[in-house]
Amino acid sequence: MHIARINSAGKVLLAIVLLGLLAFALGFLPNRWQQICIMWAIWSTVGMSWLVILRVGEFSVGQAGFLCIGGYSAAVLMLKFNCPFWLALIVSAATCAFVALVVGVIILRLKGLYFLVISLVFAEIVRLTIAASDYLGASEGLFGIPIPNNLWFIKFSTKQGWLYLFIFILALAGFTFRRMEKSRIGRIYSYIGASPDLAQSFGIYYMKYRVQAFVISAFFTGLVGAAMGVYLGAVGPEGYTFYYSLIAQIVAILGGVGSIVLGPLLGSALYTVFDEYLVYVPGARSLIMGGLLLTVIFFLPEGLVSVRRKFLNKFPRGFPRKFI
Amino acid sequence: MFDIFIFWITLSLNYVLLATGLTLTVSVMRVVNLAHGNFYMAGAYAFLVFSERAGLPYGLALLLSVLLVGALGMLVEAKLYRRLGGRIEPSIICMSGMLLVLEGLAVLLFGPDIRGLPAMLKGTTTIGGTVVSMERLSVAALALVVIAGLFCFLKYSRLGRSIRATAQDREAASLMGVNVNLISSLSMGIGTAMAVIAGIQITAVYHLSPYVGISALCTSILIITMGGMGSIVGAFIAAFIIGLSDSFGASFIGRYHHLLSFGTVMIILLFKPTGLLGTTVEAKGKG
Amino acid sequence: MNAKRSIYGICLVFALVIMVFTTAWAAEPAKKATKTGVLKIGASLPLSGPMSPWGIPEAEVTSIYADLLNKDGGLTVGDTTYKIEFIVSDDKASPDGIKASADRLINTEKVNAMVGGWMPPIATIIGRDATTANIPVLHMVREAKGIEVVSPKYPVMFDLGWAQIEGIKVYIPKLKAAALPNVKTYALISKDDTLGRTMLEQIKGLSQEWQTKYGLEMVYNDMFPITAQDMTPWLSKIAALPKKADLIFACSATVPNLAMIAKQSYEMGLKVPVVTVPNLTDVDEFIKIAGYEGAQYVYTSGCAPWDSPKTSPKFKEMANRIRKAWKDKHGKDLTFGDSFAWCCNHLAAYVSAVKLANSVKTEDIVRALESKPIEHFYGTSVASGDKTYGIKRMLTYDASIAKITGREQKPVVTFPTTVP
Repeated sequence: MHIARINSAGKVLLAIVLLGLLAFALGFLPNRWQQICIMWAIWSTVGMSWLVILRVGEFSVGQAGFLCIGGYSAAVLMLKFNCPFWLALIVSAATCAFVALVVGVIILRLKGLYFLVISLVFAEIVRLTIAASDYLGASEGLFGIPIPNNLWFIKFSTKQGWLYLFIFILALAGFTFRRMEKSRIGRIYSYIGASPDLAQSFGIYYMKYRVQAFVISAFFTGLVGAAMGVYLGAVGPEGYTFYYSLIAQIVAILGGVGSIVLGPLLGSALYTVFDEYLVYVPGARSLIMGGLLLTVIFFLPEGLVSVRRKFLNKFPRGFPRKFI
Repeated sequence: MFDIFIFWITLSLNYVLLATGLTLTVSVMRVVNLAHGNFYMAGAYAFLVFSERAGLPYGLALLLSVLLVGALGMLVEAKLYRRLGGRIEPSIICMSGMLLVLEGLAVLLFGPDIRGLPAMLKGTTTIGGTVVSMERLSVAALALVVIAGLFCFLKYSRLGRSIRATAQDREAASLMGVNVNLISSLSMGIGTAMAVIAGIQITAVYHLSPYVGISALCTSILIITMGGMGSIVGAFIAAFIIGLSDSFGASFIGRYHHLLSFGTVMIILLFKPTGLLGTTVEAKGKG
Repeated sequence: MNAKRSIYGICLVFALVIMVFTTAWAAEPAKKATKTGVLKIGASLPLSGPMSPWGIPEAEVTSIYADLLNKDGGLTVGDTTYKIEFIVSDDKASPDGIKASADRLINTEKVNAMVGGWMPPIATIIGRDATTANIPVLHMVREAKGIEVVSPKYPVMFDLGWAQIEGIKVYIPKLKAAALPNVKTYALISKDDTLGRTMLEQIKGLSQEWQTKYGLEMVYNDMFPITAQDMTPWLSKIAALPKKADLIFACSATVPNLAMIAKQSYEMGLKVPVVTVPNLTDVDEFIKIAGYEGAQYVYTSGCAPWDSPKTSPKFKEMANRIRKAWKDKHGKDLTFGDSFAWCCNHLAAYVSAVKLANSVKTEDIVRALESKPIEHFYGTSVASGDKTYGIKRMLTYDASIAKITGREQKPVVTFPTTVP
């Protein structure tokens, strides 16, 4: 049977089934690779969320703030209110979205470098406020978050269960962002990203969409942050520093900012594998990581996504490109 | 009370020295140089090599490290940053890459240990009944001299005028016959050199390790944001405001004084998004 | 005569034959013990990032210790001789790095035990994985809050207390008795982190006892943030106290914190002893940071086993061998042996537990740790408390007191270097 004959809904179904099987297979990798895959899924989701803000033309360095809010809300809900895991996950993400709405209305009036800086200030304020609050454990953080109950065959006492959860979140985020980009909203975002004033002159009230993008981004960052907090079993203010915000940009830029789903997926794969194997050279760790960043920026400015195209151009025209 | 006042003045002048270099680079390059803090650290290590390993006198070692790391800064601008065409995302990431590379080199060459640097002046003196260390006073005095020098250079010299013109309007300056590329490199060089002077002075008061760059970067970003990006006078005023929260604030509020400085910056930005004395700095690649 | 001689000869031959047989018979079980194995001990330490100045010496001291143990023939348990393989994994000092590093040690390297010194949030991250894999964990934990959270859930975790916290109880009174008889008041200044908070709580709890027993009065206590570089705001408050502080106790101060406190309190003219328990591995560099004059006022509990009266001669000898190996490698002395207090000491406790249990099974080791006194570099510790499993707590570390004495110049103030 020829694949082209299947209608588009069937194709989507086939893709979902194949990807689902692939994800299921990931759960049977050796333990170390499961850990790598979990980190890959986490940073991919964060990188994708970061890209949504970039789509409306703003460069955020405040993703750590939302990871922090997500992780802490989940920890507080589960530890102090005995909230079930799933509810805590959703409420934490909603909290992040709400904070993003309130903060976004104010700080998204700034653009360019000013937004960059104020997002950094925002993340630091979140961290410092938490470090100052005795209810939130102050500088010690909150720990001993219980392990969630099993869900059907998914056991959260094993790595496998968490891997499936993070991949589910990743798929959810990827699907949402993909649909957004292909729809009218995606086009509006790209107009605003290119020039807000021009978009305004076309009758697009850009502030609304900027805040919308910020809130959506915060929702998914918060969701993954909450899951990560429960997965680690502990949250502490010293964890959510500038470095976490940096990683969000690094994975997106490594993969290529042109593609909202594929870019972070590839970039995060490269980053996590590198990160995991650099433990064998702890002294040269930051040097190698910095070198990698500079190499990608100068030799692959459009990220890893562009490798395929560059590779294709080397072949003669008649070459059946479909198969690569 | 008076000792805290003295502390406020000296600390703020430290901050001025730290942030002015960054504000100069931002005004011309239109991108926050995230590697600023690590140039500060690299300068201090270069000084350590010249003064301790090579045994050069203080002034010569200072001059050599300023020239060396300043040249490195110019090289980074000319060979790396300029090729990115001023777009904000790759430029920021390029600077993050530089940040990591400098940190990694310092760890490889000098190890992660904490070190002490020799101070310019030693001992203590008394001002109005309060004991003040000469080390701090010398940093403050040097900060004043360097800032005054930079201010005069920008205001009165031909090159300084070119730098200001480029910061105001790059295209117009270029049309007026200013070699914009040279000016960019030069301002990056001067900014880095100031970071080096700050690094050598401030790490002598505190300590040196490959990781001191990040906190220096955060402080200076906070200052230039509050003062307005590209404004030297603004950075001067903002440094004194941040210094207020870190001296009087720390003394009266206690350990949560950081919230005060961050909160102040947030509030100022809400009412005046360009900072206290800033004019709009737009990234080149944007509409 | 001849007959007598031949009888002697026969007796001699018999004796020889018997001796040979006895030796052979005695040597028989020894011959059986030719089975060899490897005991993997894991430690998760910050080898990169800002915490690495603390992580790297610790990793190095512990691996020197493991090498020396192997050189001495390893560890004989039953009929098997084990070599000890010490595996360090970089935790990058971030929560996700710690999770990944614990995972790497437990599931990839399949370590037999883990040793370390972590704060409670990190300990719980590691504890969860270790419990699943049923691996004994020996670490230090603060006494206050962490332990109740960790202990019932993670029965394989054992806590050997911490020199800093245990030391406090004996430290200031000892210091007063031996070196600073005129001290009447003290100021507490603590870093706002887990350890600092705990130490502050502890000392506040002890303050009443100290006041009645030793006439020591607490005149000031406050915390400074982790990010603080400059100590002037806090020191100027101490300087302005109505009742002058005779001594500053810095809780949980890192080397830069301690250096700043010493330097700035000297510059402000406080000129009082600064007391703490940090990990000073390089005194020359410390003097450069704190300034020579400031460093003269610093007292630190070295926690070095070669100074501690509680250390048994066997461990004292081993500690000195480690010290010598360090010196051969680095050309300078491992002056303040606080690196011993963490991984290395917990490895020693593990080795003792294995010897006592005569088994490498987790259950046997846990039982041994619970029921018998365990010997290590700082004396002996017994698991106390009524919980069936694991921790309640253990030994009293004995703190020795050391002082940075004059190098290059004559010290400004002279105090005895070590106090018995």
